[in-house]
Amino acid sequence: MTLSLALKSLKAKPLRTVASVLAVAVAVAMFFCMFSFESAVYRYVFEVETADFGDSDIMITAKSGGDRIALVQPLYDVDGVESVTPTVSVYALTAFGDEEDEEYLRLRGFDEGGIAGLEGLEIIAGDLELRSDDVVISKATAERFSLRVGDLLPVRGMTSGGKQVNFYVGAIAENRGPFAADSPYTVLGSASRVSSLIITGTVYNEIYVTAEEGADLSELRERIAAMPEYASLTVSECLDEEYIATRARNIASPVTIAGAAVALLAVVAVALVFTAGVRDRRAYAAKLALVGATKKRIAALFATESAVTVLLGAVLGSLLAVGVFALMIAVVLSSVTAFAVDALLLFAAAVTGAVTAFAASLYPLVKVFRSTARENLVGSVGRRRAGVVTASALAAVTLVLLLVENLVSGAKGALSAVDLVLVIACAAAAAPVLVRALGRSLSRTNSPSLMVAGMSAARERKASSASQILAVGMTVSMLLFTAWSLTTSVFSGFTAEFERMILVTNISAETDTSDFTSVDGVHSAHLMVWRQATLSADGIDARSVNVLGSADALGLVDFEYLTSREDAERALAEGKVVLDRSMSELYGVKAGDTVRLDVDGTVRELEVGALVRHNLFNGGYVIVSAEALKEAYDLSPDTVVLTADGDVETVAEEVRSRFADRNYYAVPALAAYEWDTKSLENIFDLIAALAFMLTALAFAVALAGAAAGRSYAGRTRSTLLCAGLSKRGLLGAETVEQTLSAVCAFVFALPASALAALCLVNALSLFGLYFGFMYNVGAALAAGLAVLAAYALVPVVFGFKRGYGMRRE
Amino acid sequence: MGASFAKKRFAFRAAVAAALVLLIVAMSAVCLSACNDDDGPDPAAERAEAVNALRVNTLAALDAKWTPGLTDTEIIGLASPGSYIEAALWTEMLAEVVSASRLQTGKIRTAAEFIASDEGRKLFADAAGNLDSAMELVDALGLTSEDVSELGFDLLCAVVSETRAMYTEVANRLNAIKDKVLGAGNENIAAAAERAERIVASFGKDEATAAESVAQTLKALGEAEEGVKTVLAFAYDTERIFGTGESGEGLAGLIGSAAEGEGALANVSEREMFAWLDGVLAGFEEFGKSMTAEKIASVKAALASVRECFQGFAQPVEVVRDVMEWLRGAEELLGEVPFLTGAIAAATDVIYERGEDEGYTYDFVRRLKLLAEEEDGTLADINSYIIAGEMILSFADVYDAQAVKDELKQLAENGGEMTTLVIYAMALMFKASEQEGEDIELTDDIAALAVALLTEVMGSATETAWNNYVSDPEKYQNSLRIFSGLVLGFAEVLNENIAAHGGTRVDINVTSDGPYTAEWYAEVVRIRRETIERAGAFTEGDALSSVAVGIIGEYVDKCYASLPDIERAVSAGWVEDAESEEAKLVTEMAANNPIFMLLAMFM
Repeated sequence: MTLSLALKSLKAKPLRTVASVLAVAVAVAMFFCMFSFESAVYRYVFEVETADFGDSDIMITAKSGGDRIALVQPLYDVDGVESVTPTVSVYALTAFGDEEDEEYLRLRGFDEGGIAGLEGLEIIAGDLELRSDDVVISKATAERFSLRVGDLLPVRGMTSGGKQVNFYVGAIAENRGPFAADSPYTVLGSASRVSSLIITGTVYNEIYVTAEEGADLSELRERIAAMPEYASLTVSECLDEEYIATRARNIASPVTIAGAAVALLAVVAVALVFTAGVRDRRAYAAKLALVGATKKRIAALFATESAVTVLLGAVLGSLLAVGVFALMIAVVLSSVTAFAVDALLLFAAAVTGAVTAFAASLYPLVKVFRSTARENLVGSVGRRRAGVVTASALAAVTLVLLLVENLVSGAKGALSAVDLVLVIACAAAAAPVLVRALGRSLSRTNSPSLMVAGMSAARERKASSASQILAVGMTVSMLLFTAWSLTTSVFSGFTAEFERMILVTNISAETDTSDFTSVDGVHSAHLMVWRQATLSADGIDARSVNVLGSADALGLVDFEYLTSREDAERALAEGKVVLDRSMSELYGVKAGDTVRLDVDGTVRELEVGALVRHNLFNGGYVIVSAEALKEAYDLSPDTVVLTADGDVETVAEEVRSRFADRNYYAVPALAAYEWDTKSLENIFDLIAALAFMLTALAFAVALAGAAAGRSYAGRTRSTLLCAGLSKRGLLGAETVEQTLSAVCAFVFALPASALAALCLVNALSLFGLYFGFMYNVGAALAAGLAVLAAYALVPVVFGFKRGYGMRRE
Repeated sequence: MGASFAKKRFAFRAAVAAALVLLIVAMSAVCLSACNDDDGPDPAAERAEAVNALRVNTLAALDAKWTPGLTDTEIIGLASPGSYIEAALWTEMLAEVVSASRLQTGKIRTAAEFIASDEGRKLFADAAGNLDSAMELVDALGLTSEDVSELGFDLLCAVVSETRAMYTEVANRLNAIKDKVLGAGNENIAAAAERAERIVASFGKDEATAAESVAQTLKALGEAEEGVKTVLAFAYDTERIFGTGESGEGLAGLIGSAAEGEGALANVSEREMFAWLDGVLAGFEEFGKSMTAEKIASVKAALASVRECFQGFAQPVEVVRDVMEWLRGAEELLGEVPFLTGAIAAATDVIYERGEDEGYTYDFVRRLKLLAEEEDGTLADINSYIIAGEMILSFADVYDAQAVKDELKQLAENGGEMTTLVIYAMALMFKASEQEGEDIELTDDIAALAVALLTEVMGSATETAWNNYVSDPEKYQNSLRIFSGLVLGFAEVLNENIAAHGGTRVDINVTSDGPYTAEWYAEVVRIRRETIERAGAFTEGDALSSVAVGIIGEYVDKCYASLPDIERAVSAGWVEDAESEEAKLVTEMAANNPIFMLLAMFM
């Protein structure tokens, strides 16, 4: 009986039911995306970073100034070693005939059966019954060079003879697993054939070692590194978890914060959709009471209705979640990450969404039980003072907390996240107050349309609710657009510095840089160590940084010096390190402090000599002189960084051509970091997509609320028409009312988004990221005004006028 | 009625809907399959096209006017109809083997394109002439050792099974078109037909016997397939590692890179060169392990079967003849694979010298690099003797004199004609070096050895002359007469010795004047073999080989006895002054031990 009545009730108000179900569904989907995204990003970064070594534990690679070929046999006798995978890795150029189309390939050679054992390798064409000159390429490579299984892939070895070696496509694989880091394009073949690009016979220069279960990796690494056969090679642990975590965090944190904002909006949307129909619910409850329904019966009926709605919403949301998440993954992370739905997270998202929605849906019931039957039946217009008080109190608390956050040292972080929510809540609380106030003002005008709109805004909940939804939606979407603009501009600044750089690796530590400066277009050449390391100190958790190992690094980009360049140069000459100012902002590091730098498992304490400022690597860099690195880590320069005038690609080609016999790997820096930049661009695209989605969502929810509210006002509209208001006048009244809601929301959303951006920047310190405050008013204005205009024009665009008529209801 | 009508209407609509759905599904399937980018051209058709291109281009590489499938009239119009038919059948066989192989279609296409180029045409034309040029072609085509072993094996099988039929067809086709031409053309074609008939006749077997022999050989090859392919791949890899001198290729290239400071491995360090050498030596070891006694026996049997199958056959294509010759050598040496790989490992163990820190010293490799860079010829010789001496010492640590002599004996007893020739030559060389400056005492044993060696050498020359004679009797008849005359003459000398020692003379029932038939040639071969065999019967060990091994054995004993001297001479490690005492000591040691010279030649 109860269920039947509940279903009948839901059927009677299809629009409301659909809106409610959709709101729950969106909330569930957003919760799931928020819960899942960070782990997906981690998986993505993990897959990219482990593309070369899969589940191996230790790798032995060439060392600048050391050996380029490694012995394999001694490793089999090392205690604790379970398996050894010897490989050869060679950079070469495609040789399709047209020199201008030459492109770098990274060829990796394996012993028999080695390719089949690679983790994540998914063949989509051909098979692994490979001949010795067959290769496996990625789908991306196949598309780039229009290759099919059986086709010729000619490659020019970068040896003195510039020998061409022909390979044939044996199989094509998905762009994942060993092809996750497909830049330059990776080609997998046999060790003997790949070696032939260097010399006849089989040689190895990258050996991967898997340790026995339970072995102490650090100890094993040290033991191998201490063996005379590997003294001139780099022996390091494969998995640099800190590096992966840092990169994942860098990528995921903006999205996680954006996701939190989305979830917040979704919760608000759910609550508002349910409360939008509270007057109707109260009337329905009163009617039920009049026919003898007990409170218990009414409660059961309402609860059943809500349960059915949230259940449908949760189911739909679960389905939607999978689609939205898959879309997000496809847009942001390409097809690299194998997409898998975590059932537990999906369930958690469904439960969170459903419980939140169910709780929100009970609000009308509370209202019903707290009012008399008459009040429920005819409705009551209570004083709106409570709203003003709430908004004022909230604003005061928010203001205080914002001041604390920004003025008290060390208060940023978690408090910033709380303030972010409070700022949005303030906007949501203040917008209805302004709507009602303006509504009252308008109700006193002589224009019938304005008067009707003003009275409706002042007395009905419809306009207030819409302004609340729009305030939250606009603030969040403005924030996201601002975040997008901020990260994109930071990234552009970062990449702008890289645009004129060429990285030349595979060099000898004794390379003469004047050889390079004699090449047309090369402005300067800096021989340096260019690699990853892990920085830590008291109060600083280990974080991955890029080592710029040369005093010359100061001349690479336009650093901003906090004291003077001379100070920084002096510090480097004294063997001290120079850090980015963000280290000071995030961790309070200052000159004279000591930090620990871990390079390939060797940890040394170094003194901070000076601080500089640049967006390079998001501030994650350490400048140290080559001499200091040599002394502390026995590291020799491994890279020549060239700065070029004009087209870097042309200059890089010139360098390749000039030194074709030296097997240098010379690429523009942006190409060297192609996947990083591509990933970050994708992330920024996601934030932009989320901003658009949110804006659309906020708009849709507000629209749904308005439509739901409007349907209740059908009798009012008939009455107004009967009273002589023209249809045009009525349309004007509805348009004004819509505009009023949107304008009030916009008025609060604009400053709120600026404050929220400040909170967001501060909150990012939780993730070890530091950005200077930037607010793009243009982006925020554009987003807010677009929603405002769209919402204001709804009555006209949706042809409300056609539905006007005098009828009994 | 109404309900019935409604039901019918519903059924009709349902049927129409179902038909539409089916139509849409079918159209979608057609569209999808038509629009599927992955499908592309049919792989089988692509392969057939590539193989055909290869066939066309290989034929054109031999003569620009030649294309497959010429009509009789077109063939008659050619300058050399016989050569065309023969070449067309060979290229057809090659195309069939390539088509059935696992060779990638892309590679076949690339090969076809290369052969159509000027360089490719020249290389292909040269490749038919000898094995060295064929190897150049293989290298230029980018074939891997896997390709070489598979194609080599398949071609060997095809040659075994097709050759007779191929030349029979050449003869038949030429005879068929002969009568369509008059005058000189007729004579040319008739001569070519006769040549083909002579080639078929040189098999010296009737058709049924030949077919049985072919079947047995193919069976033996099938049983030894894996082993034969392993041998071919190993031989090709070894050739590539040690046989090329270009920078960036093999050992010579690696050392060259070290010396010139160029290439991917410019300034190669001792450790790097050591790692590379270790890989090469590991390849030898792996080959040794893979060639088990069973595998060696089956490969030897298969190669012996091939040899028997073609015994006396005048192979007209020189490169095929070279390959057959190479296989004969491989057959004889296969039994020594375990010893040879062990010997290489023992001799090269010197590179694995360890220092006090238990790490490798890389000293030997360092000196190899120095040797490559040494510009003074005298110093280079002296230091190469030192390096050779160290290898001898390293070898002697594992194999004592008796082990070496046992191995030699086994080689001499089980080896074939080529091995025998080498052993005899070595024995005589050591004997000569022993009595340097004096007249060699011509004992019966020495005399028999010398004559046997000469007979073997002349036998080999006679074989070449026979092959050439079959192709062109007019041109090669004299050389056949001369060489066969020498063989028969030496046989007479050996017969005298045999008779003098109470042995039974070998029946010499043919003369060098012919008639030059397959039967005649078979007799010449028999006479050569039997006289050498019987001449050995009166020697101390009842075999000439024992004499040879005995002479070499004496030298081995002397060599082992002088190991302390060698050790003293090489202790210098590296000599920088050609006039120093160390240099003199090394030179003296080398002069007393010709084996130094032999090893140093490899340096």
